[in-house]
Amino acid sequence: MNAVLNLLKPFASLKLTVVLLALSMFLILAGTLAQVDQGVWLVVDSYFRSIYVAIPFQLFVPRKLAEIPGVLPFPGGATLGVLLFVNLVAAHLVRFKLAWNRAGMIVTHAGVLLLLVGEFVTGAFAKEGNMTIAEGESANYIEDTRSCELAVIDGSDPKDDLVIVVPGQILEDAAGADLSNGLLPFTVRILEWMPNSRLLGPMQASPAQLSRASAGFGKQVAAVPARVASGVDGAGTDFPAAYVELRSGESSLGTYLVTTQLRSLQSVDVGGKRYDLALRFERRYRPYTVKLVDFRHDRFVGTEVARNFSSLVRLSDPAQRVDREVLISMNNPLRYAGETFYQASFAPDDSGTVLQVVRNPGWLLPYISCTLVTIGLLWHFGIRLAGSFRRKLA
Amino acid sequence: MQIRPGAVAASVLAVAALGCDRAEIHSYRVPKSAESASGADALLAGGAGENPSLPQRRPSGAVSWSVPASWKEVPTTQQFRLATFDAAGVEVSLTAFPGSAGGVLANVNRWRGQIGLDPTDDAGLAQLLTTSREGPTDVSLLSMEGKDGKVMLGAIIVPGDGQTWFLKAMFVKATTDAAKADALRADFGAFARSFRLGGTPAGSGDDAAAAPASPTTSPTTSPSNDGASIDARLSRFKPPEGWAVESGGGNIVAAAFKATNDGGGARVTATSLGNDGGGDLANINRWRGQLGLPPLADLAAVERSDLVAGLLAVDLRNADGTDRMISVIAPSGGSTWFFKLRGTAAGVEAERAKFAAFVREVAQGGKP
Amino acid sequence: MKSFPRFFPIVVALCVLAFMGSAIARSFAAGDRARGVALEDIERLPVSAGGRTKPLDTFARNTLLRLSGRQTFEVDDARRSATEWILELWTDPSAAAERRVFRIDHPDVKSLLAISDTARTRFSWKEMEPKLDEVVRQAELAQQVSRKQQDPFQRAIADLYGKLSEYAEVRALRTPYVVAPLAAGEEWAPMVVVDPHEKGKTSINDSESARAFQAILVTYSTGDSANCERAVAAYTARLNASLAPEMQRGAFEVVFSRLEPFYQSSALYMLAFLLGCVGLLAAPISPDRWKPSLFRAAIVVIAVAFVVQTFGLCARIYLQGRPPVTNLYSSAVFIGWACVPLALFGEWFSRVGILSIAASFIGFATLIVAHNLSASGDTMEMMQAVLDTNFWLATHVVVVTIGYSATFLAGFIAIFYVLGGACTRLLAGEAMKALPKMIYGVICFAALASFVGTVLGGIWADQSWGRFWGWDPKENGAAMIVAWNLIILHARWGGMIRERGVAAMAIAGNVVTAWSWFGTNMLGVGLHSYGFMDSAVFVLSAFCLSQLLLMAVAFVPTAKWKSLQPA
Repeated sequence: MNAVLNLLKPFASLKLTVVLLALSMFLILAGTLAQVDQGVWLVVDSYFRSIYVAIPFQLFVPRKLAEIPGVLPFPGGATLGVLLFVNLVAAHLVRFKLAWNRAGMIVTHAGVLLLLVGEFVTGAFAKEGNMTIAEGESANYIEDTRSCELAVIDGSDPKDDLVIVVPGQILEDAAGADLSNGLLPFTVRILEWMPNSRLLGPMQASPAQLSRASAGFGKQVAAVPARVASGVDGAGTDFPAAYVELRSGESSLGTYLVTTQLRSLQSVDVGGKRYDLALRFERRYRPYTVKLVDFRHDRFVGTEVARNFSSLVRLSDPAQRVDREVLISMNNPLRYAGETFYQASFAPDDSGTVLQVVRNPGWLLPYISCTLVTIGLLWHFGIRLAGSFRRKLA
Repeated sequence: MQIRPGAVAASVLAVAALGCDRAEIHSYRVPKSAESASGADALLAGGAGENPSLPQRRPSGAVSWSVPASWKEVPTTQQFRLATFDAAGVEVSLTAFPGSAGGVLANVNRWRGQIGLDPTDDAGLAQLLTTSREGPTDVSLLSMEGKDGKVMLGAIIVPGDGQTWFLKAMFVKATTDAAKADALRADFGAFARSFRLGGTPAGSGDDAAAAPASPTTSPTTSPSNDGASIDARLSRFKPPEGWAVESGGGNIVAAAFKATNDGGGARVTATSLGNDGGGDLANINRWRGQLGLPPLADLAAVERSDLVAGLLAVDLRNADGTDRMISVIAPSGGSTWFFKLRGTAAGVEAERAKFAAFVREVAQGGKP
Repeated sequence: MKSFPRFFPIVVALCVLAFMGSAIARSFAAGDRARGVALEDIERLPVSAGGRTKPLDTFARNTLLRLSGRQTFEVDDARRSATEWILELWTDPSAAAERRVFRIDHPDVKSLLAISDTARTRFSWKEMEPKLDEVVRQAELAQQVSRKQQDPFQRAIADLYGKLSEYAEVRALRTPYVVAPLAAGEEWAPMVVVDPHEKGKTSINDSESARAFQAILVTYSTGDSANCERAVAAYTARLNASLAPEMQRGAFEVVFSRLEPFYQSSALYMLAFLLGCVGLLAAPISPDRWKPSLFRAAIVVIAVAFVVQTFGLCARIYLQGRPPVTNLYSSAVFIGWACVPLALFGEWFSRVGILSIAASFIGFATLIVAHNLSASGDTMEMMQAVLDTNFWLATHVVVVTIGYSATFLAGFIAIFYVLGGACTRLLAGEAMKALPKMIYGVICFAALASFVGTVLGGIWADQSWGRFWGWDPKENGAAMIVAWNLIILHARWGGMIRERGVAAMAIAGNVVTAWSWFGTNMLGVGLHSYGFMDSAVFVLSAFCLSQLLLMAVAFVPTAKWKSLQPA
């Protein structure tokens, strides 16, 4: 045991705690400033959930004053989190004795550990998505606008559709190369991959741009790359697009434009069999359906400030014999099948609702953590304060 | 070997990193959906925030229009064409694109190319277009004749939903008789002008919210198009001698004059209220109350004054005769005007004739 | 006279109470009369603007404040009430057009308006009328550029255009909504509605309350004071029957506006600060008589200011039906308020007097910040749906703001410690030992409050949209405060810093808190961006620079500190 403790001693140092806290503070500052130019999710992934991050010096100096090149290599949030975790555990193992007057600190630190674990679990396992439903329509899938997928649909079976899905990450990685897989009925050659794109209508695109596609709507509209969305513009969603050539064996089935900005399916004929093709935001299908019965957006009289949003939905899950109406409003989510549906936003002109759907197995951890830390701090400072009182009154 | 917390933590991390979310090509089965490749409505993303946009319906929840009675809608085969109509043999197409869709000049030139005409420039464009504003919608109409007698009618419509709508019809002059061509032009124009943002086309709709008034327009009495309205006559009215303008141009008290005379003077006011102003009886009783008189049960009991022919007028005096009021009620269009003369009994008597002339001129358009 | 110092605090207490008493009496006293009509009942008539039902007095004050920077206007060198102004605007617009109610500072705007008297800052509509077209043209040009990129002239002209539009809207009675909902199911409506079918045509509401309101205006305009007051009384009675709770709140709000409790308490804090500073300066001269006397007087004044400010906050809670912190303005008021009990508690512990100086300084500084934030109009604006009252939100906002207060308090005590200790002899003796303990104690409290407050915010976020922590700039700012307080505590426990170091880091805590409170709003990103201020960037930078300079003083070696030199 002593050997272990000796090994842990350097990790248990209070100086290390102070250094790690200072580094974390700096990282948080950098991650906040970075959100001026980049979308929050990009920043979260690259600063706070990463092992290492290159912080540009330019973040700290307004461009108008000076242009500063170069980056500062820095440990990412995951690294600092793990180190803090180790530091805390080591400190307790090495130094802390179990005593009543130390109980407050132990409980507090346990709560802090739980908080770190909670954020880690959330980062790794939580899934968020949207359900956008027009009034009167239904939805049985959740969309994640942070990632996309190429869907190839085989509708030949009269009972249901077979959907083959190629995650966007694979498309991005395979740009310029051929992508083939046993599941796909053809080979996909990615001619150009655009992480964010703009659509040019028939009047705006040049004939050269419109001739890139040989079939489908790519002959009437074209896509051009656009800057990846940043936090400050408000529009946080990227719309990926790509030009792909589909090949079956030696012959080409055509070059198509696929884009997340258009919901239309395009059909491809492979040896007499028809497949439908679309690039869409990642979908997670669910065995239940949510139908938007009525969407209400009340505003304060004479203003556009929202007084309340609410969506009256009908939840139906035949397998579970569920068929009921539920009102989802601000601060009143629907919890079903391990997922929580929040009233997040609405489509233009109040024509539909946007529900935020969250699944987070670690959701309870911050609550437990908060309770522990509060009890611990009150206990610890309470004892100190009581001591001061006694000394003062004595 | 002792278990070291650090190693445990590290390995947990490694396992988790390996296990989660490795993207792979996979497949699954889903129930049949309504979407299919042909005839699907094009969905053009709005792009605001994290909301993927909704499928467009016809008429879309945002913009609506009214189709001329003799036109028939035919199924659309092309993508991006939102609707096709058959107007007595002539094909009319309707499309919409986000934003400015390349601009008016580019589109007009494209159309010119389709009928064999050379492109024009901004100056030429100005000659071609007839632009009008229908409520909140901007409509630009044009008619061009190209090679081989091809005639093209075009309309570029901006209803304010963030898109530009294009309406196009083409026919050959030689094979179309004049009456049909005229009817087509008329229907085409009417259709183009019927586009509206909101539920109901052409006329009503949600665009009622007032935009902030331009500060240059003094938002006084409503500048009605009818030059003979009370508003207009009131603003043109020249007060007679002895009447000083006290205030004017408000929304409630449209005009007020102070009349000086030997009898002690009097005040003249002109105010208006929407619709029937609450009802004649209610107003008369209110005035009676101001003079300390008891209210009347119905209009039959009201003693009318014959001050001005054709208008209901009352001449009220308080109990001791010191306070007198003559009021005339004049309905006008969607509102009701009230003309009042108020003062001491003698003062009012002295101004009675001038007041009657004032009411006749302003409320009835009689000679000044 | 030798025992005067002993009675001094009592004398001060009596003066201050008399001052407050008269202010209270004045706010309950009958209001002005105009055109022979008592305005008080008209002031209480409810209207709806910005979605909130408020007394006409409040609407008039807010509008006049936005246009002219003042809540009153001038007639022949006398100050008249905002309600009188708005009544004149409605009943005699041509006379109202001559009132100087538009505040213009930019010299280029003044020259554009061809105004010869450039020393003045307030102008009338009539003076500007000849050049209105040019103003509109310039404003339209300016509005094509995004606000961040506008130059000062463009910003000034865009502001002026906004003011002119607002004035036109009010004059035309399209705002506020004055037609009250007297029957069930009715909503507030404007008196004048623009016709959706015919451009330029307006129609006037004819419902019962519209007619009653009209009667009031008509009789007011003709100077028929007796009937005007009768009409007002009749309408008020009708409103009391249908809208009793709004009428009650409205009457209270009128008194509240007249009382201006936050202005009174900022003046009192200023007085307390002066008393405390004089007491500090008197320490070497008269340490046994005047020093404790002045400090006691300062505490008395702070106590009165605290009571007044508490009343103000409670009044806001009653009027809004929400927790005391709803926007940037109320957060500023609350920060100052929360510092006082903290400081007084510490004062009881340590008896150094510095805490009361720090608290009174924070009190009046935050109230001045609040005052500047109130210039944009209604400080009791309606909150959007996601900020609906909810236990977690209410507790989060209050606790996190207390955390801000505590961090600021520690920082200011540290400033006094550093400046007083290094540069003067005023703190020699007890103070030099007690102050570091106070700083440490307050930082412990700050760590607790800011941590709990931040976590409560996370819980609220989790309840509202399923995400406990979103790395939003405001959330990050709060986390930075927690981190900084923890760094100070752990560094002290680890022996890495001592009194000087704790003080220096506490001063740095002011910078971190100012960043979290204001700086994050200026980035314009994230869910918390509900405040946008231009000149505030300059003020914030200046503040941070000042704190850094003070920290530099802390690095003077202890041996050189004047208060630590042997006597």
